[in-house]
Amino acid sequence: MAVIKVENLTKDYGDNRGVFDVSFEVEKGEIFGFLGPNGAGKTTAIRHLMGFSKPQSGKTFIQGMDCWTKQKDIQSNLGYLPGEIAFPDGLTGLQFIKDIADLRGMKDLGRAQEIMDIFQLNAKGGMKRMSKGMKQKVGIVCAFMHTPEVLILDEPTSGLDPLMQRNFIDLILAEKTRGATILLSSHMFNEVEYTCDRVAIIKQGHLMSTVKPEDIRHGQKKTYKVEFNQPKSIEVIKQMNFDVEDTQEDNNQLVFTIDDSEINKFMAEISKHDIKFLSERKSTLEDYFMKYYDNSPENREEV
Amino acid sequence: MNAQAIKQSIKDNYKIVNPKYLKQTAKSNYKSLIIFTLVLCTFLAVIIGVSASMADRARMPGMTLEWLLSAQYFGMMAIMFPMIYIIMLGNKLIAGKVDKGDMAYVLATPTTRMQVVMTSLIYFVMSLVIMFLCILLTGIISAAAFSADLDLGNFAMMTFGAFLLQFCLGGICFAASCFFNRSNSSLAVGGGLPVAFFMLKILSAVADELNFLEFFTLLTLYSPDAVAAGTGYVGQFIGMAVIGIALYIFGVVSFKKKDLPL
Repeated sequence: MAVIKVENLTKDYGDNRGVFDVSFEVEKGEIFGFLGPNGAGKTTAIRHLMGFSKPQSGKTFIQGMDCWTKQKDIQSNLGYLPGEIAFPDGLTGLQFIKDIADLRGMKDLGRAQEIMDIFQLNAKGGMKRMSKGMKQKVGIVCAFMHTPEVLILDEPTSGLDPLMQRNFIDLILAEKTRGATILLSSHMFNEVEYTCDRVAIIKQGHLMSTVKPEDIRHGQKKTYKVEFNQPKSIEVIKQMNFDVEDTQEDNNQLVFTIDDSEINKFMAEISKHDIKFLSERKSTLEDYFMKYYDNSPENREEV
Repeated sequence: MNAQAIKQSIKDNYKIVNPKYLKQTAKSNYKSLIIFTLVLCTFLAVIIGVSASMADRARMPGMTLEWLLSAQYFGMMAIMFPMIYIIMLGNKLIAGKVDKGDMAYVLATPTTRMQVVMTSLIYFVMSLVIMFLCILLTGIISAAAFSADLDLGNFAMMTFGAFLLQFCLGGICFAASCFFNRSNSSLAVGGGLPVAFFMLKILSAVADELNFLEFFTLLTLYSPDAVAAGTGYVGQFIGMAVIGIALYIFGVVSFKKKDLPL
């Protein structure tokens, strides 16, 4: 049975904002990624899973319970990290963590301490003076400290330095091994690519595609870049039936997309020429993602 | 968490008021309650003390203790100061947390919206009860200590009326805080209306031509003079209680049903 289930969820905020007829399921023990730029509808979908918003149409379920009506039953076994970090003033990080633990009816803060150690967090200081990264760590502690079976994480690594991002990835992989089901929303390719079993690409509230990052990494088609020493080689090769993706005449470079079944033929042909270098360009989730978004470099920065 | 702990936590959390959340709410708000209560009690003690110790010949005509209490204390201070308190607290309890976003952490625990809003409401009303109980006690003790000529029955009824007025105005603050997602809007309505009522009441007393304004302000429902005279206030008291209760119900229901931008 799917642990998280979204059925034809629609919420229209006007101006193309919101989510439209979104459906997906997350299986037990799976890490499911939600990839899209800011404003694509990731947080809107999460609000519904948390019972903060009522669907206009469609339904959302966690562990078989309706998210709008069974909020409290769901949340005794759920960890949530909001995308916006905001804490009450006048509390230390530790006091806040204790307050949240108290509301959960927890006595044992052992796991909270473990997570603070993982992120080298000293939460004794006042929240007002904490940096963005430290606040994010406090949020992470609150989401993970009760070892929930379901985790909903909205842009969890924002504000964390690269080292801590790595620790975070290790943490959620460990949670997955434990059997937790994780929904992770993100606009960062690398964290999604190396953690998620499946990734849904969301654009303007619509689910465009669901893909397994593993399939992208081990796809049948690979991309190679070749630079020749002689300009005439380019003309000759271009006559052949290879799939040329890009030509850069200035540097005598060609970019090919070659299916694994054709690789021997391809190698045989190009080896007849004087080659300066050959390199494989790894296909990444980012390339895949960009198919659904405008591919211009300016946009790439944004995402 | 083991199965039994989950069961226990679910059982705990079906209660309408969450004692743990009440404790946390009290902890982060008790300071303003103490400050406002202290100011109000100090004023009252000073008024009673000065009035009682003033020699009769030094007293300006008509400046009796009764007049000081009904016109100055219950007509101004005991309206204005608690009003600032309820405007600030009302906004902070719900809309402030929603607007800022830290409400998300509370609602991500098995604490329900109903518990959050009811617990906040209990704290809101209970803190007003405490504030006015302190005023009542201060009045009784000061009157005894300074052997002032104070009709305790009337004084208690004036205090009760002042409480009902704040209970009623607090309904506006609390309902606005529950209804709006933004602190600005909550303050504009929850703070704006009571302040406007207060201004209208002052204006209506300035000149006879402006007397009609008193029909546009809830503050007219509380008249310390009527209480002192002993007639024509019971219906108004009931009115304030009913309006207050209706506003609190509206607030609770709207918070339970609305979409939260968390």
